[in-house]
Amino acid sequence: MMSESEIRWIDNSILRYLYILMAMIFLFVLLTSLFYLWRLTEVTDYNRRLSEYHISSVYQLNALEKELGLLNDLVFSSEKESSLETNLSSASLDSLDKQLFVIGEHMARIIVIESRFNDTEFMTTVQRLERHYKQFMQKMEQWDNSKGLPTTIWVSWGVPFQQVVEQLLRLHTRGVSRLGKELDAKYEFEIKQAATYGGILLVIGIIIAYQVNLRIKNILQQQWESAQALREVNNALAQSESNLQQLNSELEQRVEKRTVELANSNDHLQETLTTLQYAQEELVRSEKLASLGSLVAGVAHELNTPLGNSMTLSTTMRGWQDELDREFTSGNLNKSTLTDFLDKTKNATGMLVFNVTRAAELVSDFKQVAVDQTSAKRREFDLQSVIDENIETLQPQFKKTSHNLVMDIPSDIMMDSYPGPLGQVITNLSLNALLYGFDGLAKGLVQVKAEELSADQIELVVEDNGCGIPKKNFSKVFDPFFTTKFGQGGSGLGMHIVYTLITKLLGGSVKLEQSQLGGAKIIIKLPREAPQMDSDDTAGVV
Amino acid sequence: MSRPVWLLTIIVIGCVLLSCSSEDDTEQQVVRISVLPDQEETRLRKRFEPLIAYLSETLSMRVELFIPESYADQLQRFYNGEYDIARFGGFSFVKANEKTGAVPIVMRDIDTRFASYFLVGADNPASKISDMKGQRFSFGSKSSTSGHLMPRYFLMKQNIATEEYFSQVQYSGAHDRTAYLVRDGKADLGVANAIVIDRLYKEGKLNKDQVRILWKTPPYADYVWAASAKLPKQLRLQIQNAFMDLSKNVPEQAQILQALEAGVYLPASPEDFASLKQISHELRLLDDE
Repeated sequence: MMSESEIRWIDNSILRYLYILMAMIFLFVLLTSLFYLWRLTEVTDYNRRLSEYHISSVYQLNALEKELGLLNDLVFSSEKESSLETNLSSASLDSLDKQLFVIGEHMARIIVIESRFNDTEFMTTVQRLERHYKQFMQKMEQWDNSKGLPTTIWVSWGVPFQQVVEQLLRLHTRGVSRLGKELDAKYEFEIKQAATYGGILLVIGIIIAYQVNLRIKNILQQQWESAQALREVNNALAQSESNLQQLNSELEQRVEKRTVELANSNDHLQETLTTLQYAQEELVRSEKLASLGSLVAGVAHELNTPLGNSMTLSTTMRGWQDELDREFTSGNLNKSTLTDFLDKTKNATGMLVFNVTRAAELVSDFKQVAVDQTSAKRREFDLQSVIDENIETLQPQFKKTSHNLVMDIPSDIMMDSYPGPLGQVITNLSLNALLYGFDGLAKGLVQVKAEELSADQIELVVEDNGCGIPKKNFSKVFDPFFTTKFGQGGSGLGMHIVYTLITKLLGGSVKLEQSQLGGAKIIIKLPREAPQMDSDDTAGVV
Repeated sequence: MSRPVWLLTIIVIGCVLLSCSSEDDTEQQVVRISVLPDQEETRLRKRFEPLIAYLSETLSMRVELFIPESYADQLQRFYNGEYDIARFGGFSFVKANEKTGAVPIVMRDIDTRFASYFLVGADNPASKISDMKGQRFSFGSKSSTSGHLMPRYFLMKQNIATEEYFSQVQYSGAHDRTAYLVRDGKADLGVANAIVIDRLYKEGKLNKDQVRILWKTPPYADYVWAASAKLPKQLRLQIQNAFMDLSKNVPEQAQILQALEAGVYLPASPEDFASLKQISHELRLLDDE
């Protein structure tokens, strides 16, 4: 591949050669033309001289012919005149001599002219003329007037001489008439020659120039094409590169945008997650509170009876007291009345004490449960009593239905754990069974059982004879917000809270099984001693 | 430049150079001479043999004599390049000159002084051609120089358009027959070769009491020795000179001249046949061949 400068160099150099070639051709044509012009002048000059030659020859020959005619006449007239004589008169002899002299003069001039031009076409005839003239003159010199007339000599030698004059004259006449044509032919030949050679060289030059031009064109064309192709390839490359760059930048932008979007959505999600977690916590907390609420409602219901009894008793006793006071004031107080009053008061007070004590017990229980459940305080406790307390708080809700909640827990199972959360687990599981398990069932039964597995591990089982949990839901039961009663009061968090409390706080494990009673069976394995948490306050553990 | 173009160029140049120089290169080995078949072949051979021998000796070359079958045959062969030198009648020469550029070389002294006679009946009162307007006219042979072409030329010179001028124009076919047509009153005016008529008078075959000469044309050229245009100029000049050298004073040459009925041979020029050529063109006689 040549560079652009190289191409330009080739272009320039070849063009220079081309111009030189053109100049040479032009020079050649010019020189040929000059040569032709020079030849033309020469030919014209020759033409002129040839014309002079022919014309002067014709003039001289005509004159000679005329003189010869005169001589002829002289000879024959003298013959006529002297028909009876054998000699020419002296006058005739003089004329004859004079005539011969004139002829000699003409001959001399003709010879001079002819030899001057020395034209081969004429020279043989000129030589013949000279020969005949000499022969004739010789005969005439030998002629003796006394021996007879010159007629015979004239006929034998003069007439042939005359004929040669005619030959030469005709030659010259033809020469004159041919002059133009011959010279034209000569001239034409010159032109033809010049034109032929000039033409050939011109044609060759044109062919060479054309070929060279073609070559250059081809080379330049090729160069140009390859350069063009290269340029195109470059352009295409640049184009694709820029496209690629654009694409890249676009991609980068897009990726950045996406990243930002993702980050945003991530943030958002994180936020949402946090919110959700918070909400979950809130929900869990509210759930706890809800269970606490139901606990309170139960407790309130339980308290209602003793407190109502107490109220009735105290009111009755107040009536009794007012009646006694009135009788005492009126002085109508008698012993029997006082004794009756004392007896009645004694019974009433006993019943009052019993009822208030019952209420106090209830409040104490509630207080314990409430404190446990809301504070999740770690402490050592007896499993049986804690579960009993919890079941006690749940009983009011069961008593409203035909279902039963029973427990079978060995005594003296001591644990160092979180009684509140444990109680909540029992509460949730029991209430779940009550709420979801016994639809359309006459006598539902929830059993809470416990068993010591080892020195440091116990097993708690909560099972029912309800409709149970479909197997396909086994894996989802502990997921948060999983509920089959959505919109009917189920939050979907109960089992999740159970799972979380057991696995995280209590350090145990939970497993769902099909109960032999027909419903669900939740098996909880717990360490006797719960794992140590960083902080005592574990309320927010879920 | 591609190779073929170079080769072509070189060939072209070579051809041109060769064609320029080749003219004088070929060596003439033999001179082929043909004569008019106006007599029997044996007589013609006998008549021309001395000339052939003379030319052969003078030129130091082989000279061959050819007797063609007819005038047309002679012309055709001349066109074909079979002859180098030919003795033509005037009209044949004009054709050969027109067609192949035949060059006139020499002619006999008498050939330069041909003439035709316009003949009328002896009792015809006419004194010149123009007196014969509207009368019957006869040429000789249609292709005859002296019996038709040159007379027509001279008539034309006098502004006479033959076919319109005369009431009847016929071609007798021969010089003597034309004379006889006039003698017998079958034509009022006839034209014929002067030499033939002179001989007829001389031989008594025509009587001056019956036919007289109204007008004799100016002299014009007829028979001529012509060379092929291809014959080298040098050789042509040699042949011309050989003819012109023939002299009555040399006995053998005198015989030749006598056999050819020539006094002397004079140079011939195309100008000698300019008139004939002109009339031939006028009559479109050169077009058909």
